[in-house]
Amino acid sequence: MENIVAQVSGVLSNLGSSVLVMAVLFILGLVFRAGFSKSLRGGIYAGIGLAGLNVIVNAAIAQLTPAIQAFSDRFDTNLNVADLGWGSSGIAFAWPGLALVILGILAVNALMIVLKLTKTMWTDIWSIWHGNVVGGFVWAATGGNITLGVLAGVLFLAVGSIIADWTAKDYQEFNGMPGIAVPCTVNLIGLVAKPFNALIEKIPGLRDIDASPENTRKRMGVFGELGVMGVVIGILIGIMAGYQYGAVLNLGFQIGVLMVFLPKTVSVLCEGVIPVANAITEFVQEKFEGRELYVGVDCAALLGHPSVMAAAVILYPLIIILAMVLPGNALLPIASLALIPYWCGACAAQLKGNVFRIVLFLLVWSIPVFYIASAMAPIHTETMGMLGLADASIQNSSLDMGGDPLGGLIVWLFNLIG
Amino acid sequence: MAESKLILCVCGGGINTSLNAKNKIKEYLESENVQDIEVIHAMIGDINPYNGRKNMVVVWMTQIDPNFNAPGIQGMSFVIGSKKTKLQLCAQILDKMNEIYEG
Repeated sequence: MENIVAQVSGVLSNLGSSVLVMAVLFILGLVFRAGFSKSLRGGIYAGIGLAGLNVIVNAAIAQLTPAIQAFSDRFDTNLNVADLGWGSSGIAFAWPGLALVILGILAVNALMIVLKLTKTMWTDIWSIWHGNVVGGFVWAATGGNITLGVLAGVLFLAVGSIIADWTAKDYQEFNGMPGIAVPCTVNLIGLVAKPFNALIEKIPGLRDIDASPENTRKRMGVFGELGVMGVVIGILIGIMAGYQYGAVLNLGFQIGVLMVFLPKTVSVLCEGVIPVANAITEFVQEKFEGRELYVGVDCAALLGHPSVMAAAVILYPLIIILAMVLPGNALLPIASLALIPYWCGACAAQLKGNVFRIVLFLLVWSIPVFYIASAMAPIHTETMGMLGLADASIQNSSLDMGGDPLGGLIVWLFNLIG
Repeated sequence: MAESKLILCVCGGGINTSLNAKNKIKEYLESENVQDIEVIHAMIGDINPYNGRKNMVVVWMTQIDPNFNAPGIQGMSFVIGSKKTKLQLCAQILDKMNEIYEG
């Protein structure tokens, strides 16, 4: 058995992750009848996206690591983990269990719907990548156990659909989108925000504070855009690292590259999932027509309320400052800042679109997330390294998947079993 | 010179949801042999430069932002709708574009 696993992983690493993701998404496309040319095109773009992601991640690590090291030495902090943000999505598409987790959650979800354990259809096929990253972590942590990895990934996603049931009404009403639910586990933020909001309502003074979303965004201007912000952050890190002015400015642009092009590569990767996703969504909806069920949508749909981006632009600098002052935290957030609007979107409904409350809640929320992301850094690094996605000699992590509380818990549990 | 025709698909991340809408609209425009409309997708935080642009229809994959100065259409059906509603939505967007186009 071990021999077979060794041989398989040998073949896999020879082919490379781009070829694999192309093959997997092409075959899934055919299975779900998305059409030959659409499936092929999707597969090829997914391969390109993954390769592009690889380039951006490695370039960013090469630039960032010495700068953060120098900065940490000068100020005697232990912020020595490179933040890869959505670079971690590469794990999902490169690890050997990708197709199994997708098929697994679709089967488990259908079963749960039939048994009335959930009302949410896992139609947000793209977001299944989160479960695949959890699977990849478990796979790496258990020394290459694909079965445990797939089980962990599917469990993670199944829990997501239950939280989606509990948060659906809030999201539907606040965003004016009847019939939707958000099965991606960023919904845990919404679930926890609800009692937090009830608590705030009870505190005189605190409950009356609000900030106008329109003014906040206008005041931030172009600095609310990820590219501009990346350059500014890079320059600040360069200054604090004690670089010469030329190197300072160059580091700024390198971080700008990371902020602008990482989401673009992920979006290209996404081209591969879309044909499969559309075919599955239409199929599932036809199958369960007539039952009162929620259609699972990407959390990106929740970011339309003006309070969301207003809170995000306030949080960007606050989260960085928090990371620097939190004792024991090892991750300085850079690429993960792109995640913050999603956090805001996930709790804006429960916090009634109150910018002050969103900011306050997410500052509190991010404290455990930083510690989880720091603790997950070894597994995060090992997984990225095993899949050839990043240099394993430099520690990396991310707030999104590295710091996911539910994901962290599941990885820890499966690590005990494995 | 007048600004060219542009359909701007917006979602929270500019990664998946808006790309989905963009692909659907492009496919529709191709099938209708419409060649003078550009379709792009973007993250909601990055669309300020487009505020007030002429000859543009915004397809919102989130709530419609009432403060954004451009004709907008709610596009969630691209993700959750049936094939038929997706086609209807495409036609609606094209109609809107023809209606507002100032040449």
